[in-house]
Amino acid sequence: MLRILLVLVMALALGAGLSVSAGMLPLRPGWLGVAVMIAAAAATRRRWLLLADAAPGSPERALWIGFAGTAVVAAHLLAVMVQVGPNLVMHTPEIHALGIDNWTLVAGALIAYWIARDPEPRSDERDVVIAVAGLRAAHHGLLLILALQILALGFVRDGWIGAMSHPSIAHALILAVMASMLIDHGVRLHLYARDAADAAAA
Amino acid sequence: MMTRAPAGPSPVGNHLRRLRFEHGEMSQDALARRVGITRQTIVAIEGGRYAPSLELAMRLAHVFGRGVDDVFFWIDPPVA
Repeated sequence: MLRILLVLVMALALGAGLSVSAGMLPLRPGWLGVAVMIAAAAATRRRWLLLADAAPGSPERALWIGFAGTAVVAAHLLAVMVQVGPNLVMHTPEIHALGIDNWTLVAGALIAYWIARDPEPRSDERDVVIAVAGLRAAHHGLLLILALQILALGFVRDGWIGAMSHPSIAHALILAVMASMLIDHGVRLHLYARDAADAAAA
Repeated sequence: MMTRAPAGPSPVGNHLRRLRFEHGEMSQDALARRVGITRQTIVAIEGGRYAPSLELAMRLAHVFGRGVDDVFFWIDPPVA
C-alpha cells in the first residue's frame, strides 16, 4: 500500500510541478514530462527484467504504468485549471499551449506503457476477478464524485464553483473520470500487493 | 467451485504442489503455460488464496491425468 501511495504522490507532484513550471523552463513542460516518464518506464522495465520470476505479471505491469501516467496527466490538468481559474475559455493561445502540454503528457504515458509493458502479455480469470473488484470500486467512486459535483454546481452560487464556465465544468468531469481510473488501478494494485504479501508470508 | 477475489483463505484445498513434483518437478511457470494462465495464479491457488473456476480446475487436473476430485478437495465442507 505504501508503494502505491508513494507512486501516486510522486506522479501527482510531477504533473502539478510541470504545470506550475510552465514559462520557467527552456522547453515546454509537456516535453519534460515525456522525458521523465520515458526514463521512469525504462528504469522500471530494467528492474522488472532483473527481478525475473519475482516481477509482477502482465496485468499488474500495465496497471503500474497506467496508474502513474494517469496521475501525471490528471495532476497537470487539475493544476492548469487552478492556475487558469474558474472562467476557463477555450481556444486562446495560452489555453492551447496548456492543452498541447496535457496531450503531450498523454502521448508520453502511452510511450511509457509501450516501453514497460510485458512483451509476452498473459492474463487469466484471477486477473478478471481482481479487475471486477477494481471496476466496482471505481464505479462507486465515480458516482460519489459526480454526486458531489452535481450538488456543488446546483447549490453553490458563490466563489470559485459558482463562477465556473462550461469548459471548466467539462474539464472537471474529465477529472472525475480520471479519478475513477486512479481508484480502479489503485484498488487492483492493492489486491495484487496483498496477494503477493500473503504469498511471501506463507 | 466458485471463483472468488483473492481476499482471504479459500475453502478449497489442492494437491497441485505435490503433483507438480511427482511430474518431473514441473515448475509453476511450466504448469501455468500448459493451462494458459499466469504463474502468479498458480502461486495463489497453491497457497490456498484463490479458488479456480470449474473449467480451470478441470484443465489443471487434466495436465496430471487426474480427475478434479483427485486434485481439489473441501477443507471444511459446508453442511448440506
